[in-house]
Amino acid sequence: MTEPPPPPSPRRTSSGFGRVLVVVYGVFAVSATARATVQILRDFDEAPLAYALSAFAAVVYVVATVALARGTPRAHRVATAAVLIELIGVLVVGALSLVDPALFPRDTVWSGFGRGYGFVPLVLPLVGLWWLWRTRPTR
Amino acid sequence: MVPALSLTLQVTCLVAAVVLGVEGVRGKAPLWWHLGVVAVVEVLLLVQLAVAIVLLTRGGEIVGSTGTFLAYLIGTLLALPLTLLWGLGEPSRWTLVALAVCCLVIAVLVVRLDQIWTTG
Repeated sequence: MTEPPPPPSPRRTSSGFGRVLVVVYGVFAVSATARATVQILRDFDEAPLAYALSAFAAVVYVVATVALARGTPRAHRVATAAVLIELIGVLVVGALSLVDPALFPRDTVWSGFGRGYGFVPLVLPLVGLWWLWRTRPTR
Repeated sequence: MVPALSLTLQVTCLVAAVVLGVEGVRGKAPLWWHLGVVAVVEVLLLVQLAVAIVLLTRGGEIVGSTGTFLAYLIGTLLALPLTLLWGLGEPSRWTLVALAVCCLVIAVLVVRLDQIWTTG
């Protein structure tokens, strides 16, 4: 038995390793959306900023998931924008939540750089950007 | 909920994740027995659903949020079928890796389910 040759680098974000990435983004899209919905419906007044941020993060994850799954050149740009916003979000919110915990009295997915989720929210956008670079449309 | 069932599910999910993950990393394409591994996890999740329904109808109390509990219960059930559907759109080693990741997520959700039931 000889090893099969490595497949050529896939062009679409939804292909190959992208299948796995979309699943991970999908998990975050679904859980962030569910969490934000519960928080906002039940007690928005308790922590408006934290809960609004939860909703914003949910939208970012949903957009990233759909764009990565579509994989067209236009979707590639949308996914890049969403993943960049995600990276900035987790860095800014992560830093702010450590410097001034009173700002976010309720945890969000990005608090403490995603500590509550095994720091996956911090690693995910880096993996996403790497993958988007690997699958960038040829000009 | 039922500690023995919860533990069985967690161990099964972790074993399934390792088996499918290793097969994927070794470059295998999805085979029928891989789907069998997925089916075993899914059947256990259905048992968990049945147990939850029986306990709730018999007056079992959830310490934590009922909404969150139900969301996790349904989420664990849908995760594998959806991942399978998406993964088989392009059957490859990555289908197996995606299913392995899904099994890990389910293992975490099962732990959380148990926590919500017993401690809130």
